[in-house]
Amino acid sequence: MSNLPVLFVILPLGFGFLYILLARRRPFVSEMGSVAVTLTLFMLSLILIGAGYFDGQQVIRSFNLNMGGWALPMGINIYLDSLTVLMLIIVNMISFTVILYSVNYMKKYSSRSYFYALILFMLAGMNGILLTGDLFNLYVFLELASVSSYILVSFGVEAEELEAAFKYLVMGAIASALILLGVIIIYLVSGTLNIAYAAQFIQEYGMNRALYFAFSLLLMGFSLKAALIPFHAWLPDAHPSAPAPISAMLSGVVIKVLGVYALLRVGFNLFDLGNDPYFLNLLLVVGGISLIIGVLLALYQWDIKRLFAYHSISQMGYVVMAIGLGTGLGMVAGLFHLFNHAVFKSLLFLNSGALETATGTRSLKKMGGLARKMPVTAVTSMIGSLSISGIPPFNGFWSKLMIIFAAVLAGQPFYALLAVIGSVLTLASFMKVQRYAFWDKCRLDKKIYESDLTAPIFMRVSMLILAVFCIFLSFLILPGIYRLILSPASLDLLQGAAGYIGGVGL
Amino acid sequence: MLSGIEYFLLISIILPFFTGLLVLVIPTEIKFLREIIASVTLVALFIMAGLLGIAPEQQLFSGFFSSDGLASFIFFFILFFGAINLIYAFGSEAGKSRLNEFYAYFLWTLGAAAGVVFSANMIAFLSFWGFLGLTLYMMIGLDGEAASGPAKKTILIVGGADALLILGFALLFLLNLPEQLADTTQIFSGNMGLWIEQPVTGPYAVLAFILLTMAAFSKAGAMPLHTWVPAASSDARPVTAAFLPGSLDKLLGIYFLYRICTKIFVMPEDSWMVTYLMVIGAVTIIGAVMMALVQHRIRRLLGYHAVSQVGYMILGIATLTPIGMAGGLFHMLNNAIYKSCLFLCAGNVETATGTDELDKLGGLGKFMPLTFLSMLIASAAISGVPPLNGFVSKWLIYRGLIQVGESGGLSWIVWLTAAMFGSALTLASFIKIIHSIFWSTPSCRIPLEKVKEQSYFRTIPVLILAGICLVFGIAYIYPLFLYVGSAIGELPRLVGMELYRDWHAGGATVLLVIALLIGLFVYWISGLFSRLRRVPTWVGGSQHDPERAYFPGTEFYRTIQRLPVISSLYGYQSRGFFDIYELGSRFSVGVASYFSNLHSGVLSTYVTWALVGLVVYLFVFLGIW
Repeated sequence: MSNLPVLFVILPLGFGFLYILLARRRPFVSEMGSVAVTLTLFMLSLILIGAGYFDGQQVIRSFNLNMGGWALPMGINIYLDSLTVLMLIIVNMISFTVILYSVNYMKKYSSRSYFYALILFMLAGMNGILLTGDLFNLYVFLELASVSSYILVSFGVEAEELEAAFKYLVMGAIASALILLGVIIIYLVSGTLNIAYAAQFIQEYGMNRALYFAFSLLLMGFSLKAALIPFHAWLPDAHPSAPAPISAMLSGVVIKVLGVYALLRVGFNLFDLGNDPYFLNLLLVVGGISLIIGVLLALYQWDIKRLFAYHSISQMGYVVMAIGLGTGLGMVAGLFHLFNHAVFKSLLFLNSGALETATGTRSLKKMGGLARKMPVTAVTSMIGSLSISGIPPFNGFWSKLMIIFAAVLAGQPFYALLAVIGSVLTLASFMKVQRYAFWDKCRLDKKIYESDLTAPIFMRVSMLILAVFCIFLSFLILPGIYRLILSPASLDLLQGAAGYIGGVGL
Repeated sequence: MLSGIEYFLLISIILPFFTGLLVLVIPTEIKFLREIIASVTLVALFIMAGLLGIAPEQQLFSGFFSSDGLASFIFFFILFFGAINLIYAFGSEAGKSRLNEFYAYFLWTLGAAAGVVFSANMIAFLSFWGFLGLTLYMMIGLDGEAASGPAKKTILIVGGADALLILGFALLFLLNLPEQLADTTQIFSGNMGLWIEQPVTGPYAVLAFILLTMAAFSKAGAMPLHTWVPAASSDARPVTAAFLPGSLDKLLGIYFLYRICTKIFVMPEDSWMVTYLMVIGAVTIIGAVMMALVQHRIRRLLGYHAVSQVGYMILGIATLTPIGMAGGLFHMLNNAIYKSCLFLCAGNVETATGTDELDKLGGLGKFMPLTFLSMLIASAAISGVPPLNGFVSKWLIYRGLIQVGESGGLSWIVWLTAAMFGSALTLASFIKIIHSIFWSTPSCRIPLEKVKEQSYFRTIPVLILAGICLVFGIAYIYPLFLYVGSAIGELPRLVGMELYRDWHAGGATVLLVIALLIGLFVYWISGLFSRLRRVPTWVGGSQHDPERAYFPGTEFYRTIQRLPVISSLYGYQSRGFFDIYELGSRFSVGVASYFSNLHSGVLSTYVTWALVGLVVYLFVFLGIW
């Protein structure tokens, strides 16, 4: 294993600064540069699938890289296992499609170079979170991604956007402060910031009240970033207000990396709570509540992006609930659903951007009859809606199926029932979107309806790419591929701290 | 290496998917190519069905699928109804918009149906079953604006039941968990077999049974999951109504119910689950037929009958006796035959007159004789008039119910009464249809001079179906014994019962025909001797307005709506109290509005929630040791 993973952080960070320094007035350069960077990173993340060896059951991956050659407790390491690879694929795939989409979509905004710089900073932050083996480093990357996202939410600088960004900023800052406090306490107790070393310390000396306090703080911070109920309230304001590609990034990957991934790393690999009934039951309860209340809130919305945003809460509920089951199948189901949700929710937000660009409104009550006018948007949005609603043969069906089966097999039929109810309500809400946006009679201004509404080429291409993935991700459960991607990633969590420490090589 | 029969099944499933994709991308300018591709696919599928039918019962694809007599039987008839509707579609759909989508969904439906009937594994079953819900939704939604509401309702009810079905299967899997489930991948391999004959004992088994039957009910359209059927029947294209809610979904829903009661579960005969099925069946028969009585639009009325007839099939299967089950399955087939015929006839009438309101129609009998004849026969069949097919299967179901009574208990009387009463009401309702469309005074609200019989593409299919109603009624021995009996493996016991002893179809038909001839003769004689004079109607010194003298067939049935207890029930019904979709949406929107109002947009509130969450976390983690 070479130094390849470093590129995931360096490339976007470097290009982002280059835009600000050199290409402020040449948005074309930053557009093309960003597309090239994200495409490269997406390809690199796919190459990483080939890393590792097959042990007869599944592929094992664990690569540790000490930055600058510093020995471990002193230096910072990059640690890459199957979970990281899975998440890197998700993040860089979505980033690539989103930036491709932005090439057309962002035309109506000024200072686009800043936009691309910020989105690359966000990407660098997320890739950093995924790769780093150091707690404080994780916090820094988390702030990098968070601060970029605050600015990007307010990118339109209208009143609504600024207000949403302000709420997001305040809530996010509270979370970040608590996370920092948690990191400090861990450092205070264990004397190290390295995740593997801290984990080893906890393995040796056990948990104590201070560590539980630190864990609660971290858990709260990451829950807020993951927008689990009751920490969710910033999301339905922030996600709709951002430009559509940013909404897609935020709902598609940011809440997953900053929230769920960090939570899982800390909960399972650092504190080793994979068998702790309190932790697992908390995940179950919080996930179940988010799932049901999120989807109910979505049912009530007529603003298409706000509706999607509430579904993000609900879908994160699915993921967290599945992982909270604590079984291997639940873990796989949760990670699979996380992947699927990244794809279909990004797709849906990109659709909403195309709709908004074409019609000038986000209200479902003012749309209608657009299937004929915007065929690509209509078809891809149908695919996205069916995926999120769990209709075969699309990817969401398989992950929901696995979640329901996992819940029943884990002896939690109540949570399986919640998943079923959530699924029906999701279906209801997305069929509403289909009906009012695409099928019903047109309620738009006639002049608008008769003009050319088709989305520009790059927007169509990126929506089509994601729609195709909605179908092809179903293949992840085929036994051969399953052992390559999903099963090893779940194993990294199931093995807890011991697996992580061993992977880093202590 | 795949065996030959595995190839046949693979082709049955895959071929329609590819040809469906093909017709989807063919440019709309090229004419007839889509029709040709669809026809060729159908012919190929018929060949596959034949090959699968003659093959012995066996497992395929390491247990994911299996072929047996019943599956081939159902698949054959799905293709048969596909062919009938395809021919009709050549006439009715020509020149309509989104034709490529229509044929694509049609073909995909056939492929997925093949997948459903042959699958013997939970995952395979679920994916094909769910995909059928999707094609159903897309096909209903083809008509855009008008159908967008019914399409949404349909996918919500059918898709919601699918989600319940997943839960049911999960419970079932839990009850039959393989000893060693070390690797989670095993969940998607062959050990999730469906034909496990789980006894219905214990809470999980009962729950799984109910969830599975709910999925079957939603597809077939039994109460309380029936409301999509009338909605979709009246607002989708006639050929879609005939193909999906009319025939295919009945076949699949009842097929699944039969499998649930025989191969997935085994039920003790005095189980509460039998009573549950009987109650659903009886309520469905009566409730739906009462609704049908007061409808004023043809296809909506037919849609309610499509629900009502399902009740008979459920009753038949719930008897758990060979004769009752054979009756239920035979009724499933018969219902699909006459119900598609009725829907397609209704389509002909609609195209000819431009309306489907019974109040506006009338006197079409002499303008559309072929449609009239077919619809008359099919109406008689659905009402259970001998010697038609509907009578035979209902008779078998009655016999099954009586047989249940022989083993004690009195509840069978209730089910039997409901079934017979429902049959009478069905007849009443179809007299209304036939009278209103074909017999009553021609209404001046439609341009009668333009009304004419439809093209052969649209009359031949209905005539074929009506003919089968007659053939299956008179020569019922052949379809019943050769198909149903051998398909369910009850042939020897059915033959042993010598069913034909108490119903001599041939002799009875001769007597009936003689009676009809005598009646005609009397009518002719009386016409010879009576002196008729036709004069305009005068009321109060002036000639009566023909518009006001018009007496539609629907008027008489309004009295039913005004009956004391029933009127309040109809009142509740019109307010959506019996519609699970309405109830569900009202309830969830109510709850949603509560939560939505909590989101005031005030930042300090939001921060407070987050801090409360933190306190809960601290409490959980700091209080545990």
